[in-house]
Amino acid sequence: MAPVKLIYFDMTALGEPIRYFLHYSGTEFEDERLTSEQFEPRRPTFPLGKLPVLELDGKTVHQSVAISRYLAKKAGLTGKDDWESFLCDIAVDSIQDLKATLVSFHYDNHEESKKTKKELALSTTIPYYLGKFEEILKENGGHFVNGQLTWADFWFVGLVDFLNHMACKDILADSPGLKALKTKVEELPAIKKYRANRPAVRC
Amino acid sequence: MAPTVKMIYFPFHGLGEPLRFLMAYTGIEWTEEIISLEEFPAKKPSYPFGRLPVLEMDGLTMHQSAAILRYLARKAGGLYGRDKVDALHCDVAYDTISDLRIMMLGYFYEPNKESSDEKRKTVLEELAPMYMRNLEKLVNENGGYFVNGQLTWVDIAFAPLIDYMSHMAGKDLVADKPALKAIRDRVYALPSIAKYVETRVKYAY
Repeated sequence: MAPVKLIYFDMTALGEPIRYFLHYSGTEFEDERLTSEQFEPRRPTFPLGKLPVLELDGKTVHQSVAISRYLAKKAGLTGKDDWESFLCDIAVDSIQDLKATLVSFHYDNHEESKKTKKELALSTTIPYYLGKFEEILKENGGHFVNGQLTWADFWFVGLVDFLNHMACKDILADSPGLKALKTKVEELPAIKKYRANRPAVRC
Repeated sequence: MAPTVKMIYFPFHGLGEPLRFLMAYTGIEWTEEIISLEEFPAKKPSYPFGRLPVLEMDGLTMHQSAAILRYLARKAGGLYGRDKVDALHCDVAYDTISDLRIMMLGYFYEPNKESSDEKRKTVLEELAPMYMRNLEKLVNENGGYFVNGQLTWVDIAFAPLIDYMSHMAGKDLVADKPALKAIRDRVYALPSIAKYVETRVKYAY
């Protein structure tokens, strides 16, 4: 079988959930990490010049959420039926909406619009989304979907260090349910082993 | 029997239209509840995450338009490709189109005019052309569809989405993209969709 290779930056962010899925499912893979300097000359070789990409069965695939959903299906992490798969998708897309809010000021080069957006995100949007996620976890036995581990749990936990980096604070400080979920996922044997040995990251 | 499906959205085609197209294509009848921008702040807390569109189906409240599209496509059968790998490619294609749409939202809804103009320039001069070239190549490599030579939910969603995106771009984004234009035209010509489009309420975008 063709080797599996993940190419991403030396960051957690969008690569980390994919690394979690691959380790959780016991899939051997090459975990290639690029610094910004290493990435720039190779940028035109990646679809749309972006990372992550996954080399799978001799083909190069991009789009972190699409890749994650595919790997999650193979690992049995998409719920037990179409409705639960849908609930996983809703959760991941809602997490992505929160991330998009942070991304929109973090990468904004215009000082004024950056400041306005950051203030709104920190005062309103982040607490709103985290409050909603806490409610969902309370109603679902500590998980995003129906009392079971799904890829939505992995997605959030894998991404949260990057969300904290963009917010410049620990966004889970007042979110006990999400904190407990983070611990739960990070204590899974395959994830714990990976985290103990993973290379240093910039965020 | 009255439809048990209700779509709640603004008076726009926008992000609601792909759902309307897919429902029309798969034979789901629905009613519409249109929320004006003035009414929205008062009603916002009643929606799962304070955002629209929301679809109420058989007593259940659904939100997140892409998740709903995926769910309806799975339920209908035959619109998600032949296997898990085709499904992956459907998801890749749709998310790529979404990425471009989100970049355009970044300037279209930016209230700071200077910031909006700067972002618009970058998106329309550099990013959108690259994305549109990539999508045209993808369709040419897949027999005139986004995935593996067959109609999927991605083609059906693309047709109204590219109109919305063209409005944000101020020009027809597929004017010089024959393969993508052919998908849009083919979807609009599907009988159930043509019928819906003929009778739908027309909004600015």
